[in-house]
Amino acid sequence: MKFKNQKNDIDLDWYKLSFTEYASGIEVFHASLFFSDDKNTQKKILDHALDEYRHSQYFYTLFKNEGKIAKVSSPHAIVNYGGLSKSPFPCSKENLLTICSYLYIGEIRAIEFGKKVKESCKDKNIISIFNIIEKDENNHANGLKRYLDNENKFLVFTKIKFAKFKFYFTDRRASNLISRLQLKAETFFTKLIFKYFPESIFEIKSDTNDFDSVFNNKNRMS
Amino acid sequence: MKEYILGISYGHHESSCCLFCSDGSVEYLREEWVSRVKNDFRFPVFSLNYLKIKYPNLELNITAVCLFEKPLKNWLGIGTKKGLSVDNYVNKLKQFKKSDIYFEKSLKKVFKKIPNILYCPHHLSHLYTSEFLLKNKNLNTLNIIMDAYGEGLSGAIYSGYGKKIQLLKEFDTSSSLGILYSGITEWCGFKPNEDEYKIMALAGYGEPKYVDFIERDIIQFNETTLDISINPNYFNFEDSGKETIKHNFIEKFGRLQNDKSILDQQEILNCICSFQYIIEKTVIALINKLLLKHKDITQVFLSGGLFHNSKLVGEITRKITTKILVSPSPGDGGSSIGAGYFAMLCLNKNYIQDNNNPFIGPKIPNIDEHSHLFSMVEVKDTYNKILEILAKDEIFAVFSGYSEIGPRALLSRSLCCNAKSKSALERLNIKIKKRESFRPIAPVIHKKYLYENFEFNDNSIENSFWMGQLIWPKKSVEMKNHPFFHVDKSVRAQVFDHESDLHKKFIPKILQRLLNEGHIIANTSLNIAGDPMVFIPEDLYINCKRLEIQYVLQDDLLYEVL
Repeated sequence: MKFKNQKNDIDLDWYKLSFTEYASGIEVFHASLFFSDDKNTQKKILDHALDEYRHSQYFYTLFKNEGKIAKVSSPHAIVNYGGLSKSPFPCSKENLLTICSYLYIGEIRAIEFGKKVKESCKDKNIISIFNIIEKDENNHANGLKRYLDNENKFLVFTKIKFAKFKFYFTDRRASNLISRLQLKAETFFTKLIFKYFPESIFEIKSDTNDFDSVFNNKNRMS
Repeated sequence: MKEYILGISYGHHESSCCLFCSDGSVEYLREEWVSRVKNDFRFPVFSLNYLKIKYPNLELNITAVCLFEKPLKNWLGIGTKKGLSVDNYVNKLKQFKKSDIYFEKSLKKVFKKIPNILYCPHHLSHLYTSEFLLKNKNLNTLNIIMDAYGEGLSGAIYSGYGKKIQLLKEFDTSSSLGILYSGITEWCGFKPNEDEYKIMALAGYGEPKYVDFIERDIIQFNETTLDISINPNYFNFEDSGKETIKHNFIEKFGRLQNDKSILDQQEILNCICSFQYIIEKTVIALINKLLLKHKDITQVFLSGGLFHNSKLVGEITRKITTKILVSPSPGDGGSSIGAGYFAMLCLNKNYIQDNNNPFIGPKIPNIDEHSHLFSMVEVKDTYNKILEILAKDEIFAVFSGYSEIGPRALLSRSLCCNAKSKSALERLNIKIKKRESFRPIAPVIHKKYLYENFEFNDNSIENSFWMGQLIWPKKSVEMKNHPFFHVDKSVRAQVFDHESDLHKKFIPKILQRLLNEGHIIANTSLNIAGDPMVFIPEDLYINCKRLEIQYVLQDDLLYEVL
């Protein structure tokens, strides 16, 4: 679904959005485990994760309503579409500040995105969904801000800048350009490799007739 | 001093690791349980971190780490022949970067020093997984391994056990019944390598009208050479990232209409049913021929992803009287067990004691320590409260004992209701789990009830302890009294054996009492459809909230979700 106006040009892919929210739910869930000593805070963070899963469900319903079929398997969708491949998890408790800065920037980006959609969209159903989400995201961002404000301000400032920088490269335009260049280079080198390599290199010989033959090759990758 | 051997499997499927300790204990972990990504295929870094915390001396005392396949051989095994399209090769290169060829590099990010890295051939990992889980010490065993592909092959047949194995037959990828099944899954609008169980359920709604055509034109079994040939004009067996189904297939069987429910598209259902039938017929013919040829064989072990198909296993055990067993985790996800076992054989270590199959996952944490998420229900008698929940057609969760290793919940992490009530079943299946209506819910039945109502192969009944096979009722049994029957009258029941030490040890006492008193409990996995099974109380809280489940049973205590 594509919305256009003078200011913004937003291409809404409900499927990808659904998995972005789902991946956020997973990240927030992992963050909650660092707060096992502070039960009240942990419960609040788990409720934050529940909100993200709920948002994911909203978008998935919109996707389903369009009568489309999901062809990408869910782990690939979560890791690649959802952005978990760029996630800081798993990590230790020492990285808590980095994680919270990363989650905070994620919330700010979600709020900005929601505002853009509301400006350009006329569908009341979609606007009401984004209204609910905006309210939730504001709560999450405020909670994270309160936590970060109590920490070393200079360190928080650096971590937030770094998180913003990291997100810049996951943005569509930048990543599209990089992936187009990557694909061209891959195609070129692939042609080259398969043109000059003798076919015999790809022949597979069975070496698993009995345990002794397998044992002799136990440290080999092929 | 304790020593450890670690098996790891990851790549195109759900990743896992299995730790064997010199004191005989075993711990199996699926990456998805810890990472919370369903069917997580990535290097199991979450699981390894979990193990490092749980076993502080692990890094110092680890003897060997074994991968479940030979990564370079696997990468070269499919889609690398000359003459394929450039797209195919580009896809192949992309896979190289993400493949398990970088296993050692990934491992070094978790463990600074690894003494010995081993690589177990893909299909042997399956074989040894079965051997470990089914406790095999019988030389007269036939191991049939069939999956989509691994190391350029789609299956293999071995005889023997342990170090006394002998290769009898290999199947290359062009005869992969696993890839064929995934192709049909994709054609039906479901996710390949993930939603195959939905196709299995849908097969019950069709008629095998295309059997003659498929046998003549698509799948042939050669009884002399035992080769399975699949017509490449209908299926794409190269790993090119393109659809598995080819144009000729679409011309013959049509396309799914997205604006209509699949249950209203009878021709599609007939096609699914026909392919399921032919796959069953082919595998049964293969086993029969092998048993005729090797007369000393006394048992057959089935492993590989194809045997996740419990209808296929059910039909095999129904038609062949020899003891035929499938392990609780026959797919690639379970292969880390076989890889670890292989390493033990190679290093002449014997860390195995009587294992607690299929409950070798971690012990389920105590809910009591999470009073901010759950509160104990103060009732005089938990048993009577559970009876009340069942009578009201309500649903409760079970989170007790040890984690099950396979994909199916076995009353350790389950959602349960009264299986005799149609409305409770519908509520659990459609409203709570939000599953498609065509997918039946499995019941847990007492062994006595099984003998009274079902026809089955007694030699192979062990499969039903972990829902590995379908069973069918006696002709006299009427369907209307058993709402948990599938449309084709089959049932994927979990059988509770009151005499089994395993069941006595691992199934919560209250549920044992219910089953002994003749109750039939519906049992489905404790998760939202598309999410991994719950693993720790924090997951349990998230899942119960999303599923709107109020009560959780742990041991003999009932908890309420806050």
